[in-house]
Amino acid sequence: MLKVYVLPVKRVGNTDEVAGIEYIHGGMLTYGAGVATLIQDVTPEEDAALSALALESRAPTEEEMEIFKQAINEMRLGTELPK
Amino acid sequence: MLFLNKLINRLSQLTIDTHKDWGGYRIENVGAPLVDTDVPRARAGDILSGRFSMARMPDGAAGEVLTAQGPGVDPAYAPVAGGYTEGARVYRDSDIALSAYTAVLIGFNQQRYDTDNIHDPVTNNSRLTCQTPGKYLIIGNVRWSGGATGLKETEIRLNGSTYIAGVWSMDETSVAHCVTTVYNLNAGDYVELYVWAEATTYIKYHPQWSPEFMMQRIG
Repeated sequence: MLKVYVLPVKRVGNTDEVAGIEYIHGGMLTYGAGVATLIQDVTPEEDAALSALALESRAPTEEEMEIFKQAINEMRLGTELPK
Repeated sequence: MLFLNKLINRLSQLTIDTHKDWGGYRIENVGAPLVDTDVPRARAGDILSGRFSMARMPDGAAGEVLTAQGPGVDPAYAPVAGGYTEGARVYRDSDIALSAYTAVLIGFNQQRYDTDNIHDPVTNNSRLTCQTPGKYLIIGNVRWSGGATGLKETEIRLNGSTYIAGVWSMDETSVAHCVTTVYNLNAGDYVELYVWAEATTYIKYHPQWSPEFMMQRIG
């Protein structure tokens, strides 16, 4: 299921790292000021873990779904090149 | 020396006998503008002087330049062509951890300059938003370091969805990406910098250029 999570961002040393990064893959993440917004197609286990960490979790809006699809579909241009 | 004055309200026109030898005389106008008939035909060795009253040109606005308008037309002040000032350069003052296969939209919390309210460091701080329509040079710089090898991409997107420039690299742990384009933007259009990697990695902060995003009007 596709969900939106607003996750806290912690700064360790000089690195900003979003909470729950171990559960994030294949999503779209927006690093803002102190928080990051994640849109991801999650499993129930990932949803439970991310919801526990999130400041907010909800279903995506139509606009967010479109942005997610664009981001995931188009951010692989390099794979068209022969390796 | 004899002075011959043309005074306002006393003489409407001064006629000078050009057959007379005016050597040693001073012809002086203290009021009304001189016209051609005021000035005698001078000969070599004659001493002539005059004081002209000229209307002052209207002031131009600050930064304008006096520009020729063509034959027979008075010059006028006009804005300097080119030399556009609208632009912004922003950066993020931290490294960013990236997850595999996750598109990351970089937020920029610091500004080097912003001359046209193009960027807000808090709200929607990933965006450079066009306020003045025109042609813009758009540049994003990122330094990848740490983590694993694999495909790494950096893209500029218009209004959240339209891909307008990109660069990618493969099989390198540490690499720098500079992505750039020139694009016509309308008021309200915004551009953002996306990064994507095949494996967990980092966008590394550099105090001069990473991650850095800028746009400058050029036309």
